Amino acid sequence: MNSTEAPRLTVPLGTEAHRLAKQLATETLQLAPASIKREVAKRVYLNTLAVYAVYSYLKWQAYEPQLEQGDSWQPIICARWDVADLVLPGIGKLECRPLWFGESAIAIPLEATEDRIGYVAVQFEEQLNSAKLLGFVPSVEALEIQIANLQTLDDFVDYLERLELANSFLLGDDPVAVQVRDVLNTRPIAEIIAQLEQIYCNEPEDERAYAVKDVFTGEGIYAGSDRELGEDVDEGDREIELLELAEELLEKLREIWS
Amino acid sequence: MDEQLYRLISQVCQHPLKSPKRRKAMNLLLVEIQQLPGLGKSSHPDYLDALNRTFEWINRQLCQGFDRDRPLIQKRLLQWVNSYLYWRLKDLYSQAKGDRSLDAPITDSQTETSLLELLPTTNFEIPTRSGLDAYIEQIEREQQQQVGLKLEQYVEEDPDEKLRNCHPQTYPNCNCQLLSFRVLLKNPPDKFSAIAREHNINYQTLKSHWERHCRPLLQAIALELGYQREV
Repeated sequence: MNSTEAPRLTVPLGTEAHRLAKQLATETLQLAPASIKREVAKRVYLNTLAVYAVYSYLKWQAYEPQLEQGDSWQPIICARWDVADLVLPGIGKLECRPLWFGESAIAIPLEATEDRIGYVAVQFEEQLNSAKLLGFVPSVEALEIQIANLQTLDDFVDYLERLELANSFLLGDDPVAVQVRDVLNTRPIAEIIAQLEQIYCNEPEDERAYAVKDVFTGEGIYAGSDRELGEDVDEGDREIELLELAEELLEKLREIWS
Repeated sequence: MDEQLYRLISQVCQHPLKSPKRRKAMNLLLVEIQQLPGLGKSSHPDYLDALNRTFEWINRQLCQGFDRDRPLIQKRLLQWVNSYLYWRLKDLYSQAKGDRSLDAPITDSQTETSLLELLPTTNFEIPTRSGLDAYIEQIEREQQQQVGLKLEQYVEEDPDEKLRNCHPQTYPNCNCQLLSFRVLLKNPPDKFSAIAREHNINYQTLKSHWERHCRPLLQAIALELGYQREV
């Protein structure tokens, strides 16, 4: 079976899903600004169904998603922001975006981009008693996802596996992991692992270490201009240290992901 | 088809529950099962819940609960899945109706259909895409009614005695709780003139106490309870 016949699973959405959607929409009606509250409640309703659809699929596949850990579960947040996140403990946060049958792209609101490891496209038709899982993309910079560019659920499974392995490595006692945690300090590990995974899969081998180092520094552009100015020797040493750490981390990731 | 299913089930069962290989085989198997002709179908909301749970159960029970080495895999897989669906529906049925046993045989998909007919029609509604705007408006009305109910309960209990303590100086009986009862909650409402006569209080005094003190107080309580004023 080749990838053009990618599985399109259908998720039945019954009483439980619609009760949750209704409950959150009801709370939204009380919390959103009066002039747009219906619009917001409708958005929350569909977002909740999308989250529930992905949640169901993950349960079928013996993952352990946590509905109540997401912002999409918090009325005060989802009444204000267009978020449809779902937490997979030990792996990261997925964004579950609804779209209608026939649409070819999904716009991703800025507020739904923080600390996300990937985006799952959930398609609805006239009858809201089921949804189709169209596929996913790993964490993106673009604020729009083309349906034509979606990866399959098989890719999704592999992707989640790589993230889970890297997560447990980075949270463990290995000296490289400890150093990396130190460098990353307070930044969200799950999202950074998703970035590392993308570098590992997409960048040419000889450029990976530089790309990983830029992830460490957080702001690749500024780091680059500092290096060119070469004003600060300590800064230069730090760069080399980070590059070495990047190499070591890549070596570990190669072991984990091979 | 039997061969395809045999191959997929074997792949699934070669690997532990959480391995990527198993999950990928499961992706394919679930698609196949969803397309099996004869898989119980209904738009009943409870049925959809039961079906959703069934897919989770399949993955966990398939390898020990289903014998893939006997012939007619498709037919038997369908029976196996449908019989689980049947039991889930039966659970829902007994939850809804109290524990009444349904001694129906579980031999074919016919049974699920008849059980579905027995499932109480739920008053829970699943909206459609084109009906979603109207549905949201309906939720809004229900929510207003809920605020109404909460307000009613609040007036009855008056937990902070805000309503009871608000009355014209020498008329503690003509407090806002009593007035709210008589002119707001009571159906049909009493006339102010009748209440004034009953408590021997000046009609204007009573009326202006209601309008200047009780009504704003109720309004504030309603807001606290979640009532929102249309802009």
